[in-house]
Amino acid sequence: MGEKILEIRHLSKNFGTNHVLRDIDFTVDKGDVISIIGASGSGKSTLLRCINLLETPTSGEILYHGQNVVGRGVNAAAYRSHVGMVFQSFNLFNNMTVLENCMVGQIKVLKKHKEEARAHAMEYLEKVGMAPYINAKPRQISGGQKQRVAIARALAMDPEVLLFDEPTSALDPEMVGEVLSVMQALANEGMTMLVVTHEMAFARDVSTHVVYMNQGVICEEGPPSQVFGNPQRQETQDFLARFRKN
Amino acid sequence: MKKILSIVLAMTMVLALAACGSSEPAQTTAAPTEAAAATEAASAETTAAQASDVIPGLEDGVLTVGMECAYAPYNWMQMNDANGAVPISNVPGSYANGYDVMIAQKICDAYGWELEIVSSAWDSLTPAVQSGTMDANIAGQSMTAERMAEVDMAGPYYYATIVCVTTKDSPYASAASIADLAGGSCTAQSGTIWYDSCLPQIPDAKIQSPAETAPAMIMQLQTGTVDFICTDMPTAMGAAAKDENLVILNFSGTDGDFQFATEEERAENVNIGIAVQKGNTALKEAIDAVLSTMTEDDFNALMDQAISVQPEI
Amino acid sequence: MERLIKLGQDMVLLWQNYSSGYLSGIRSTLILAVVATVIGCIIGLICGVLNTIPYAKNDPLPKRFVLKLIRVLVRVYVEVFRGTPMVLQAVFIYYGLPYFTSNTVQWPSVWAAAILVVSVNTGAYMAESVRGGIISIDPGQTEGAKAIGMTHVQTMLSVILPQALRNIMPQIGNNFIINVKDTSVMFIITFTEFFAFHRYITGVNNMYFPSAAIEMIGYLTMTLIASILLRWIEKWMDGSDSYDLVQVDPLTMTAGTYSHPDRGTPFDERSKENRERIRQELKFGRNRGDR
Repeated sequence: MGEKILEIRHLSKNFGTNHVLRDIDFTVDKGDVISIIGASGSGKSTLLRCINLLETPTSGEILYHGQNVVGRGVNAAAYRSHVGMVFQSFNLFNNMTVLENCMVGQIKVLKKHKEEARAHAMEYLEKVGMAPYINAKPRQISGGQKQRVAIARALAMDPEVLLFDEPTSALDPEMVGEVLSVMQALANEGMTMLVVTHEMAFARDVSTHVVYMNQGVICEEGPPSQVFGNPQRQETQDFLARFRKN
Repeated sequence: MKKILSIVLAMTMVLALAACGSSEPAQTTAAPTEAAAATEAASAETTAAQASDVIPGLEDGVLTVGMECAYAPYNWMQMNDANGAVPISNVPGSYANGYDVMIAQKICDAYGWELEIVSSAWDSLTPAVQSGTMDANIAGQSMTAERMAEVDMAGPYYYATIVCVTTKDSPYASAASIADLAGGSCTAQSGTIWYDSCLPQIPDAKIQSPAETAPAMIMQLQTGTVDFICTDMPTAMGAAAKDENLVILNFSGTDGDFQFATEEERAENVNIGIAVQKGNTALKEAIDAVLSTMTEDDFNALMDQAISVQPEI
Repeated sequence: MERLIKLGQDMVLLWQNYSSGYLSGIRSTLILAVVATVIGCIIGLICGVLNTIPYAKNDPLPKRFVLKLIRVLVRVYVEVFRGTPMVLQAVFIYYGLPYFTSNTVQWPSVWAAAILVVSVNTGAYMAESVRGGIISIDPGQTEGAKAIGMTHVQTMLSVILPQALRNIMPQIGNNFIINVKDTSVMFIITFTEFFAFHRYITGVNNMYFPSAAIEMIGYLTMTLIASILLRWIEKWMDGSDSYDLVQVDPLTMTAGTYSHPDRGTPFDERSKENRERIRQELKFGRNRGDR
């Protein structure tokens, strides 16, 4: 398919005695759009946060282009600049305008010049449709707009992989659509994405690969046609049954 | 954000530099005036040359004296140099005057030293002399045993009769002995013998918390917070001169006076001395040499002069 | 009533005779309070930032040891200088140092000692305020900064501290006003400021109430001005409530400042629905007839 960007081997994460992730193995190739679905508490968000080292895995390896990024002596900040993340609660910087939000990472981390950073940021802000709002502060725009800005901010760092941690869970139904259409456009352009979501329609229509997690392990994975159309495991069937009723 | 931080930092540094720069201890420009006591000059001149050489603290020829500058008529602050006032080195633009300043000037005139007056809070006079920040304290301090355990004291340079002060309309206004003051509420300045040794002698006295300064003590009397106060004669005379509503109760020489176990103890409580650093016998003897040429009448005359030049306002 | 009038007359008398003294005292108080508060804030900021450097279990041992040591040191500093009266700190620093080191350490000027004492004291309080300000920032802000690859220092300087500073501005104002009044205890080390003049002047003429009244008015003026200035700074830090829409859409109906409150209401001319409707109208014509 494409080159292997991320390979996760035997990853586990405990919070005290709580084993949230148990022996996770999977691979992310270039161009993949992987949806991770599952009930609350199944470890989906923790898996995502371990991938970009916001949580430190208890054991296991995460190979980024063949190099293990778990352990001592790893420059986590440099790694994170290649793996962008979009959060459920947006996490835009409240003391900066929309434009500055998208520029600060490029200037501080990628050491770009201000004009170059500005042009690059404007490019992505136009793409997500937030160009008129560059002077607004996060508290002055709506949730859907904030999420679109967050996506632009992550894109402006030119990441190889984009992680989405339940990006639409905190949004009103009207705004969910605008964010999902941005994500769909990104997928069509070939961006490698890992999306933790409850939007089954998106998972089924846009992703190339679906992972169903249950109680800290990957219960079933495969292309959407298989997981949604013909689930093998009982747990998967039970989980999807809830959504089929709608 | 960065701009405002850098502006604030720059202003702070400018202010700090300006502050530090303007605080150079001002060398007194007042040249030693012609000493009135020619006799003192004659006898002390022989020791003058040797004195400045060997006395610790006077290597620079400047006698640094600490006093409260808020304890009229011993020492006070005024805004001009009238009546021989000396500039206060740590308060630019102010001058110190009073009995203590006059005595200090006499000592300096005898040896040709320059006089530098530093104003300080009452409680930090002794630590200042102990640490060497000041050469001597001439501040109306009594020569008590506790104080002399911390510092050496030269003197006495005044004999301060202990008196009580009350208001004209007080029931105690006609008291003739300390027994007549029984049951009254009273106070005195903190850290003084009048609060520690004298007030407890009054039977059934309701002793209130000590006052921080002499004026605070007088204010408590004037507002009726206390019935009477205990202090020394000069302070009482200074206060009475400003407020005709005050009356001085002087029991000295009578049986109804404050009693002390021995004459030494009385001397401790009445004698006012000059504090120098413990072990600095050279300075102590130099000062004693000047004081020994003055009699008690000289002291009283000088005190009357001090009270007379005390500013009205 | 006559006593009040006499008070007023006495105050005027005092002012006429001693205004230069009072004014120089105000100057000293203000300079000490401003300089010491600023330096104290900087000390507090450094301590707050040092206290929040994160370390994890799998960091190298020297790094963990150093960071733990820093936290212990800062804690000791804060507890000692918060827990003892500033008066005694001043006495120990100004008189104690020369005394216990037999005059090897001498203070060149009282100003240096006074600024040091008040700054260090303010810094101890500010360290806790800054720490509180930093931990009250939504952790999502740190996560957002981490996610785009910023280091701890970059996160602190660009994202957390500006927001924390805005949150602790009221506390900075508090500390400044406290300093304006507490500098009066510096008289114990012969630093003369506004309150010292009260002592001097009452020492000469026993006019306690008039002098106290002048002092109260003086202090109130200083603190009111400081209060107003600090509120103004807070407002400036917040930025304006409305923002300019950048018009990239050729179909502009209104230009200029877009006022925030109208957004989301039925009167919003710039809402998506309205703009879409106008676009459709221009394309296909109006099917409703003119009003």
